[in-house]
Amino acid sequence: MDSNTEATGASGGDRVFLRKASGLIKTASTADVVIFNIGVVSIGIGIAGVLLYGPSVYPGGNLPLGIIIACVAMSMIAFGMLTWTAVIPRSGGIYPFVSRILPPPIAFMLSWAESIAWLFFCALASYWIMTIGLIPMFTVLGIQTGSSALTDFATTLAEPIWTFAGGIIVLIIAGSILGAGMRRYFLSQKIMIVIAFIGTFVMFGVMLFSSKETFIANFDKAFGPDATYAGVLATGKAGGWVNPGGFDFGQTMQASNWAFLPLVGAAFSIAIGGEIKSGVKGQTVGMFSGVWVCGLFFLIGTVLGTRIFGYDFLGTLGYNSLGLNADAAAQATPVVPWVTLLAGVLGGSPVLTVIMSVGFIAWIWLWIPAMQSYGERAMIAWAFDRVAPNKLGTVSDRFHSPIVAIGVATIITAIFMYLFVYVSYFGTLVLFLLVGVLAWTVALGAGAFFPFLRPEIYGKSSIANRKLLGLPIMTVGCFLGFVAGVGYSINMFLDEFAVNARGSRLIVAAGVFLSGLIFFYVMKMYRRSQGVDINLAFKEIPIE
Amino acid sequence: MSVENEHFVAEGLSIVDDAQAQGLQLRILGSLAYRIHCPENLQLFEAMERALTDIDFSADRRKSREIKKFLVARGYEEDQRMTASTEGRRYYFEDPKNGLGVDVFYDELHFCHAIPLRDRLDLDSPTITTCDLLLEKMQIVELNLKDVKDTLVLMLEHPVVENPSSTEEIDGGYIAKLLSGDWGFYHTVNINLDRVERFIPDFEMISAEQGALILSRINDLRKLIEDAPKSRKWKMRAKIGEKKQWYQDVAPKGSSF
Repeated sequence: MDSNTEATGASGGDRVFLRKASGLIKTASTADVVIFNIGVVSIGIGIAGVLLYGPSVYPGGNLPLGIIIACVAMSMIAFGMLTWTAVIPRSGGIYPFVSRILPPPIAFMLSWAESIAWLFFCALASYWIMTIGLIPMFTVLGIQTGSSALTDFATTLAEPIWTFAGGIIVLIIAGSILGAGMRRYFLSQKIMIVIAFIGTFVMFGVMLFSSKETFIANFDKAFGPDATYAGVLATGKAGGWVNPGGFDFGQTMQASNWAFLPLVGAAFSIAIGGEIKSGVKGQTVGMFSGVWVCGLFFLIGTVLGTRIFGYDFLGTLGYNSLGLNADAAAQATPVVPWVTLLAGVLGGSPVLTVIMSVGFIAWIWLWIPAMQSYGERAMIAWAFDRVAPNKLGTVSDRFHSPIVAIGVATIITAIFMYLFVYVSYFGTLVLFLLVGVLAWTVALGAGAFFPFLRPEIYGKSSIANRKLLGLPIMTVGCFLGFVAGVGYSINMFLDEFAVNARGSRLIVAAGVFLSGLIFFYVMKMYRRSQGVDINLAFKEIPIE
Repeated sequence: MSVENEHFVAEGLSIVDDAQAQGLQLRILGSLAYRIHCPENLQLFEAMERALTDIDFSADRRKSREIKKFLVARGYEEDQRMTASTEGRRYYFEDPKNGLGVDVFYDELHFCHAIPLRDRLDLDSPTITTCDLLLEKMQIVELNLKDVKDTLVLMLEHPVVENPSSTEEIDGGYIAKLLSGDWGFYHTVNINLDRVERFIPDFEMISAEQGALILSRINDLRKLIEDAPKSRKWKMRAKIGEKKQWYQDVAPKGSSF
């Protein structure tokens, strides 16, 4: 079947075209890519993380500046990834990139590590839907309506077995949507992002048009006398929380990790690089809008939140609630005081609470199928290069989607979900972000050399002739991304609260990479027994 | 017809017949279908021949598993990258012995515009209907000379009528109805009909009399299309016009992975 490629020629006074090859319809429009990336950034999670952890763990940090620094760094990373995806427009995350320049074991190990990391966060999001979405929503609703049934329901959901069951249901729903095909998945994301934005706008409206006095009164009414606004402040400060005043760059940088964490999602469209209709244009719009639209919302949410709740109150409440205050008299809310909880209290209306909470849940949801699809697409790419079982690359004749890869990704996330619920150690492993960012950083570093090491591939790309500072644009873009990646890797490594890359956690991180190497060599031996040399696949130029 | 193309026709017809014997509907489309449906003007195809490289079929997606089994049993190997890239909307098979490719499009042909085929496989055999063959070319935004030529030959050999009584007539009523709900498709078809008309004098092998006949059939089709009542969606989209892209981009054939 013929279809379009390039246009030339004229005859008979009219223009006709020369088409060289059969065509392929791609699934993702530019709008889909924008929604995909903004969804993976998750504006709700970003605002919530910055407001909860920023003032409480990093007092003295300038939160807006931290957000802007994170946006700039993520833009540099996105720039590098953009050049990669322009040169190798394939799905599968960093795998199609690094597999064409790095030694096969290293390339696979990096892809394996990032896939594990993102599947970890997929499961974490599912866990959060229960623990910071549904449970706080029913808690506040119970308080606002005086319904013990709702608070009892929240308590029931908080039991490990129900948290686990709820999380598993969420993961299965996400897997089922992906199994229904990417078109339906993109449609579902459009619906969810509308719900998410409605929740965010309502939250902004509540924070903008209410007064601090109203919040104090509502807070005291909801949680007093066990926890009052003044009591939280007093016990927090007595327990050791100090606002040093002035500006602390170190604290600002550390606080920015909580903006950087979700912003990494702005480059997640590398997972679906081969499925984007408008190629580089779609990726450019998708990645940079992912960074800066979300960054703008982070800024608005942070400014409004610190204004209405008070920087010191957010600091002391988080300090008391996160177990940083050793004083037994420390006053805190019955559940972790995410911004949706505080905004729900501020709004004082069950309807507003539901809208804001559902919006927040929608933001968390947007992580789940996107991150599942990231891991799933990497598995498909591995299977085609024969470094993973062939079954992972097959499309179900019944469901017309890669059910095996989706199933495996869902099972992996379900295992992580179990670990979150039943092994408290895993609940705080933000360390996996460092694993993912390190893998990306190596990919970006390698990308800086790609135009020189694989000129036969680079020369055919749409950016082959584009230069910056006299260098190939890919070299510049990837170098900038590499610098940002190294910078934030160090920043996260130094953050003892968020990442705490110490002791056994470092062993876990090393284990993720090592397990990738082991898997590679096991597959290599298996393929050799079949008479297949998998190194050959890595030498192939991706099929155009 | 060249020996090489005879081989394609023979294999295409054999696949359709053998599949039918197993209760599977496969209908030929693409260049081969044009040749099968225009036996009186084969010499016109030969005059500007381009080597055929594969055989294209349309089929019901609900039968994809059985069709895959059928083709694999004939010695074809599935290109899993294509299947994964299209999520099973299109399968590509290749015979490792001779490199012959078989494309199977399920339920619809969707490039610049979507042509529904699933419920129309019964209407003709061994190819899709003549009107779907015409639409197959008319949906292409970047029409090439070969498409123009195929279209000219098809319209030379088949009259356009509103209610066809045989499979040799092009169902202009169906085309008009399909386009009356989709301004973008309507627009592309109109652009292409104009192109085809303008190219008639360029083909020396087409006589003046044949050219006049083709032109009258193009005008028959235009009239049916224009006379068909348009949907509200069509009218709203028509107001925007070319300011917004009206067709689907088509990437070069390849893999997403």
